[in-house]
Amino acid sequence: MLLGPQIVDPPAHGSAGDEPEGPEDLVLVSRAQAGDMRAYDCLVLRHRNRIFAMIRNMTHNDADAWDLSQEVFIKAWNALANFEAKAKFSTWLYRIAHNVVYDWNRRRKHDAAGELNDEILENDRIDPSAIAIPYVGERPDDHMALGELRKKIDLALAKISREHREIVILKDVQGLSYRDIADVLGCTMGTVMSRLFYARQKLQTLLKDEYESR
Amino acid sequence: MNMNPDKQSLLLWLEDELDATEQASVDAWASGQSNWLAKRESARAWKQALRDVVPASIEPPYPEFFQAKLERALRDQSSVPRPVAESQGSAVWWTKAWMPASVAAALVVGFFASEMRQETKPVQSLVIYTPEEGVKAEFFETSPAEGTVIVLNGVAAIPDDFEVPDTASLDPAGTQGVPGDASAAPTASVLTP
Repeated sequence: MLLGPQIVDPPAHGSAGDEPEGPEDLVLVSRAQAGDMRAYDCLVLRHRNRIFAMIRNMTHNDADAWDLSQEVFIKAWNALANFEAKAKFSTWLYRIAHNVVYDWNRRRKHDAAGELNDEILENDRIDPSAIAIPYVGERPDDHMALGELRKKIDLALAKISREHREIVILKDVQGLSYRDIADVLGCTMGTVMSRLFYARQKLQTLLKDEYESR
Repeated sequence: MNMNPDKQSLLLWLEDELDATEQASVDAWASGQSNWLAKRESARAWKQALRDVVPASIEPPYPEFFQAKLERALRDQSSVPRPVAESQGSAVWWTKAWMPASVAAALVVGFFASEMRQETKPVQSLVIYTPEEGVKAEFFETSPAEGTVIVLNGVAAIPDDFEVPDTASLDPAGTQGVPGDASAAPTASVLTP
């Protein structure tokens, strides 16, 4: 059987890449800062799955999420000397992931500027709040495996703006606090609260039928 | 006496982000506020509904390859300063004084190392990819015989009725050519079942 993305159930905290935040992180960070690559390997294992999920939920593409996750952990290693334990290590990683995805989106726009690539142009230039946005989503076999509700939520997430999608993913899917999200995005808690309010409102409007039936 | 909570506290309360003391305080206030209790329940239900269908944790495809590639990328960055947390002013005078001598010594060592490298094979880290889950690969290398063996444990048995497909191989007659003599060089042939 070929390996595909494995969805890890949230309660499975013991599995690789799904570890809860804890003092172990600080110990491992301290060792990694001293050049211990094995300690860094442990850190990657503890946080890999959540970073990959966050990026995949943003990009809707396994291959891009895979490459971007690699980029996140390479950047994190190179910047590890600057990490101070004022923030949680996971929050710091999310911040790097946010920057990597942001740069990736900017590169895509730049690359598409001189080409007539309908797929990219349509995705990036149509008003994110438009109801009839074309959706270039996951592979057909992935969609077959997903539930109807998942498909509808994915479609709705693809229709809202990137900023709104990111804040919903960080808050409602990844479970970060307002404070942590403010750290990740580099803005105030008030901005996070306001942005989340509008993001949820848009998403719930798009999922009106589904949401009211629950 | 129940004080009305400020807007920020209420929003944090809706998301269950208050600490225990503040939570108790707002809970006491909210006990008589059915609309706020309903809002909190709605927020909880919304988050739960999303978490039920949108995964917060996904193992990337080919996780071993993910780790191996990352490790290689980090090791390849030998020119990048390692993330050792040290102060900028830690270099003392004597390290600066010994710098030219250290550079000269490094050049001498580098020269001899390059001479020796011609006689020994470079050590390479090896990553083996297997097409199936559960297959364990082991790698053996014998320097004197210049032989390499890769053992795959866990591959399904080949059925008896499996027919060997067309295969390209060197000339089975084992013709040994003289270097530079194209007419006598080993040729590829196709074995058909």
